[in-house]
Amino acid sequence: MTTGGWIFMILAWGAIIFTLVYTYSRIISDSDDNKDQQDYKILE
Amino acid sequence: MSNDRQRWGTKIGVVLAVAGSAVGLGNFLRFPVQVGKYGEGAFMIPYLIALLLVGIPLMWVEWTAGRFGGGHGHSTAPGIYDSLWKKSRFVKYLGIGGIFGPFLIYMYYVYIESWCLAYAYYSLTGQLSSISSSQGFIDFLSNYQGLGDPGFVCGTVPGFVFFLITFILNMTVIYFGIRGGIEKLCNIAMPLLLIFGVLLAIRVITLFAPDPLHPNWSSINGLGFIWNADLSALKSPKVWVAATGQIFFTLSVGMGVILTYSSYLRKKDDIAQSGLAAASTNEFAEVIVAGAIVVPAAFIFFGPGEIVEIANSGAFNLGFVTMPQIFNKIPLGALLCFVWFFMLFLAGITSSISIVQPSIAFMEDEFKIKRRKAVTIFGIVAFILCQPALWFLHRGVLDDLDFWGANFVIVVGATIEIILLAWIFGINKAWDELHLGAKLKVPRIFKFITKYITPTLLLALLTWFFVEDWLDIITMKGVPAENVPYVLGIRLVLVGILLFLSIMVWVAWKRRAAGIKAEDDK
Repeated sequence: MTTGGWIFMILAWGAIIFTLVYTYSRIISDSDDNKDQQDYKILE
Repeated sequence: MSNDRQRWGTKIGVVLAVAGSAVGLGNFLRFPVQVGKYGEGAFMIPYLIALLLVGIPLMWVEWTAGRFGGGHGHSTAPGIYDSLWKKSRFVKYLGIGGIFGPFLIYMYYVYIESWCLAYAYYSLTGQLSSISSSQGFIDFLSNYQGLGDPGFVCGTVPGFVFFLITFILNMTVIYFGIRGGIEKLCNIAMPLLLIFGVLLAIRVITLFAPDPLHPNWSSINGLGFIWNADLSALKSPKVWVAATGQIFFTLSVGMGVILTYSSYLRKKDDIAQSGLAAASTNEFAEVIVAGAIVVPAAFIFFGPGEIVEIANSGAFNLGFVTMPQIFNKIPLGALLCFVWFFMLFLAGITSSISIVQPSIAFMEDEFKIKRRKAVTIFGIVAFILCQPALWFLHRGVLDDLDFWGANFVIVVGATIEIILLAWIFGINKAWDELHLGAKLKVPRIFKFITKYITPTLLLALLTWFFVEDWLDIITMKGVPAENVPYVLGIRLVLVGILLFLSIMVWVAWKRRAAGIKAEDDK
């Protein structure tokens, strides 16, 4: 694999893993907020 | 209006369910085929650009429209479209694709899913590890499908038994509903699938270069085949179209499933964050896991010269012929082969249950049919309509269903959906709806992309597909004369389903209008 290939792969993998960890960690930490939610009211 | 609607139990549950819908056989079979087909380093730059310009915006569009429609008591595209464009009497009919598409994908997908279960079983019994040649695997698959010496029909008893088991498993999960069935299954199956995938990826990468005669045929160079970017390939429009198409198929956008799943969310659920989490789970499974298993494994054992040839032989050949052949050459191959096929089965079942849900939700929402009765009705109808894919596989029936369900309907559906939300409902209102309850603020550039770039790309893709591929398929160019009656027959069935759904939508809205009038009269 070329140096460019390594850089491209690490950047792409890094972006995907960062987004995955970031979003899941926030969802897990926010999960308690889910309990007291009200039913949907129409936005309009 | 909607207090008795089903709801997801947890935030993580809905994310895993949507990710489960997106992570399917296409991630592990179709993606490597696309990567291999266009040669070294050609695919990933267009793929990642398409992810940002088409995939993620469409994901957010579907989550937004779905939750909005859910707030109006609708879980399927006809009702959701109707709530997005109240002035139109006809827009609900454009949403029929959101039930029709998933249903006709189900007509063949569950059969392919059952092959994975069967092959997982055959891996454990040693029947796969006893095969020593490529032709042996081709014959095994062909005999399993009944293609060896087909008469009028081609199915086999083992094929039907595994189909039956898979079908019953699907119906059982759906029977227990959103929280008790779909969410519970995805909470277990998705982490298990990813663990299996990561284990297989580690095993393949740590093979390095096992053949001393070919020291360059290594797992790292296999990764290089994907990631050594070839900038000259960017000039080819075919690569861009293929990459954008793959983004569609992999994220399950445009078919109506995410609309249905997100309709069960509450007002303040963070859909910006959940949509991104589901998309990143799918990309993890596809780009990192599948990318580190299939292409490097094929590179190690067949070399760079044969990868394009393997890719051109198709996704089924890759999954059911090439991969078991590779596992046979690795220590503990039978176990790894089982892990591979069971992982495919998990990916399949989390997707197939998602494509059932729009039909069930339509019956529940628009006709007030109880869930269990709706599942029974769906089960009987779907069981009958799944049979052509089993028994007339050799007549091209499955391929034709795949074209209409997984190509035509989803690309047309996504184009309608984004125009409806970004232009008719209005991008400003859609943007506010997306951010309702959101802690994640989506960069404003996506507002511009969603309104202008994504619809333009979709219209261009639609035109390209129509001119380059679809016209020939629609006119049955290249279909052998003896298969034409069967392909025509299945198309007549599809027209019948479409007409039936149109009538059902008409009846549902008549009933709704009559119900509103009766309430007003009181």
